[in-house]
Amino acid sequence: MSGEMDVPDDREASTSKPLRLKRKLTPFLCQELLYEYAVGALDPQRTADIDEYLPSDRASQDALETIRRGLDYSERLAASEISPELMARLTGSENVGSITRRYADWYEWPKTVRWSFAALALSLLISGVAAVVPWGKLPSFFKKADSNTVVLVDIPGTTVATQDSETAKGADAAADDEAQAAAEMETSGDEHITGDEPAADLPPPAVASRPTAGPAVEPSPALAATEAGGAGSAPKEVRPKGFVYRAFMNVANVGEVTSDVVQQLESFGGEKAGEVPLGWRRGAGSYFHFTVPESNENKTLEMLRTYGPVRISKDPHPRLMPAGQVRFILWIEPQAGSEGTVGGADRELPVDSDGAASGAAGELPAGSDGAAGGQ
Amino acid sequence: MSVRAFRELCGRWGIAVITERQIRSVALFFFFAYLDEKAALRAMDTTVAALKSRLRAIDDPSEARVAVIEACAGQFNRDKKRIARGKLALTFESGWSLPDHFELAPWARFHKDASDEELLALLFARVLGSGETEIARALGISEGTARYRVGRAIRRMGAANKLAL
Repeated sequence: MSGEMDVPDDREASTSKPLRLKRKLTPFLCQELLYEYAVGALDPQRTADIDEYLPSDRASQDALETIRRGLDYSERLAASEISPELMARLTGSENVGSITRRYADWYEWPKTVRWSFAALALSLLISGVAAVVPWGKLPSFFKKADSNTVVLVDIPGTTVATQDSETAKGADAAADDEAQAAAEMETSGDEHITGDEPAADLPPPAVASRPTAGPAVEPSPALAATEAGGAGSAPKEVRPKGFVYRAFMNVANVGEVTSDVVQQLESFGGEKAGEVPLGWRRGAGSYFHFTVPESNENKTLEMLRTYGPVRISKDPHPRLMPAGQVRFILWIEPQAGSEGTVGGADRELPVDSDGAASGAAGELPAGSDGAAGGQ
Repeated sequence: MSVRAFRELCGRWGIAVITERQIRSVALFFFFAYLDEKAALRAMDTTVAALKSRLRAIDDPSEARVAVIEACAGQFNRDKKRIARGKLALTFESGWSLPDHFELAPWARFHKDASDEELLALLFARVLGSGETEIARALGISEGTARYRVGRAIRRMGAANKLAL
């Protein structure tokens, strides 16, 4: 502060160095010592000097009176009191800062409380993570997406996906894919035929690959997926709803039997279900894809047995037939050893007494399915 | 259990370790230094709360008095620009009282005329009852300077009282 000098401690000087000579007081020095004189802070020698000097200096007397008045007033000032209510309020006074400082100082907490809180926080953290993390979907997060797979149609209840051409080729040999390929073939109503040369009476392929517009043939999810995916696509998983009879016969005279079977089927109310006519000749064999009324199902089977043993299976199929209609796919081939044998159908399926073959009895030979592996 | 251990335990659990004498000193200091009851109440709340935290670690009574002076002076210096010198805004509704037949006019005159150093020195020395050594330590000055400030403040106080009479 301006005008304020660092005043040495006069009491310490006076006590450490006792003055032997009497110091003569001046009015200035006397007035400067008056406060300490008034409060009794001077050494006895200085006090005696002032006592001796004061009666001779009016200004010093007035100054001493002012100091005593000030001391008296300040003494009364200090006698002010505060009420117990205010004391209680201040005793419990807190502010945000003090509360925060007091409770935020982690190291001020007792160790037991600290460790308890740490354990509790850790438990809550682990529980929270365990509750939030979708454990069921976790593997899919780390599974790399297959760039060769494109989902074309997402139909509830069915999962249809297309595979690339390599996958389709690789799956040709697999038994599962044979069934899928068979299902795909039937989307057109007829089984696909493989051969070195097309038959003369085979309808154009473009027509044959289209779905049948007849009432017995309804577009299935598998068909939609196949059409959308184009060549090389195959349904991944189709839930079968209907069924189809697959029959295979070996006879000595294919031509005669074929014409007889066609006539009798027509008499039973049978109608072609695909694009090709009943008894369509392919190589040395004949192909029948037809529907008959359900009431004539047994008659049809009995009629077929009159020409020789019939290997038949009842396979599940996604296509549902109208009520009262059943669908057959029949191959009639020359007997083994004959010229122009198409498939190696050397297995016989057991036939029930009522003529209805069990679907679990076995699958048709690959050749009987129109050489599905040739897809 | 020793006093130190007891104070330490109280401090850990946030129990107030400030004494009633210290609270009274703080309250009177702010009432007389501010002459504004609302501002004084806010300032004393803040100061007492801060002192509770600070006094936890102080065991020596002399050190505690120094801490009280420092806290009061610090709060005053933060608020001094907002203090209207010499203007009374006291209602005495907050629960404090002056001695009988005590006139505040001399104090208001002194409050207006005195410097900050004189005002603080007088309040610390005569109202809080602190010694010059503690005042000097708290304010960072020599003991002689502290005594000089108190003497000058007493003279000014006496002069203001004489004028008021």
